[in-house]
Amino acid sequence: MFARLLLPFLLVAAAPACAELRWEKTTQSFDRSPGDPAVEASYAFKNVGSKPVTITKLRTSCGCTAAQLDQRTYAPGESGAITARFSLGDRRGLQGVSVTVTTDDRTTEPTVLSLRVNIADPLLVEPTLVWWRVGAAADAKVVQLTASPTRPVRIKSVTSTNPRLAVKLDTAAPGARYTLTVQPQDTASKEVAEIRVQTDFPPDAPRSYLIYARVK
Amino acid sequence: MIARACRQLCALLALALLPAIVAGALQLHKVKPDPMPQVEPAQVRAWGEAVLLVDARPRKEFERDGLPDSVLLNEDEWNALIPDFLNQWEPDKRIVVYCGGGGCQASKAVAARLRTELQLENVHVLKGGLKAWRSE
Repeated sequence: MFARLLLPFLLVAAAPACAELRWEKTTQSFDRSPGDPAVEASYAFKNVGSKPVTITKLRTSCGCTAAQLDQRTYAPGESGAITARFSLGDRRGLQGVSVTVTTDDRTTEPTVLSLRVNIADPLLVEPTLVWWRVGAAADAKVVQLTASPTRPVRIKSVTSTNPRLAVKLDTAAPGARYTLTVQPQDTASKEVAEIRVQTDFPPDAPRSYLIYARVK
Repeated sequence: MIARACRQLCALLALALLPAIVAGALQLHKVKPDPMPQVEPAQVRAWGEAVLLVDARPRKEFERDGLPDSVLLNEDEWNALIPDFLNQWEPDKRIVVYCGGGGCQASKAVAARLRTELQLENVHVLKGGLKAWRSE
């Protein structure tokens, strides 16, 4: 009796979400570094239905992502792929974009293809802005530089574009933790400085980081 | 006979409800409060000139129909745009970040970076984005 009751339920649950196009996978994840220009992911599918399927619309979740398709209509049994290209720009951390695929089969919901990218910076700079109000106390402000636990990053040099905003680098743990102290001579007038931190990582194209200092 | 039919009906309902209950519980577990304050267009207008409007959309869209006196700051060109943003920024001004509207996420991402990386306070996201701003 129980099996008889369960059967219709199981049949409904086993039906594919998309009756016509079967996707190899709808979510893909990547790791990237800052400076990498883009991530490309291919989402393969097959028309497992009995009639041709036309992809009528590809909608990306942001202007930073482009989606491409070789052809629009797929015969029964035919395979294809959608390529999503996510331009990383200056993004950092965990990023998620998507491509929504709509077909001419009105009985199925659009399929959402997800692309997840972790853009891990080898050196964490906190904060990237130090500032003082005009006329306020010219206290020293501290910026913490912390390397990823798996990759040592050494600081090669620190330079300020404005000598009235002095910088001092202290090494807490070589390759792992540094402290940068920034202090204006005074706060009598507005000041602007860009502080460049030059690292040795990655060895083939060492990265530098900018810290902004302002008296406003 | 009726009792048996009722039992079968109850069993079927329980089976049908089970996935919904599990999915609902998972969804509740995932939902976290949005830490980024959102502000209505009317409130931003009421703040008057004590606001710095930040356009988080791509450059093309900003140049096409960005709000007057807004400054461009997006994640595509973050490093290049930050100096100009800081030139416009004043400590006493509220920062209001906007994007196209509806489900756009760019304003939230930019606002989050202003708070975490630059450690700026008083950063808001325009609720409903440009669409809401223009419809009021």
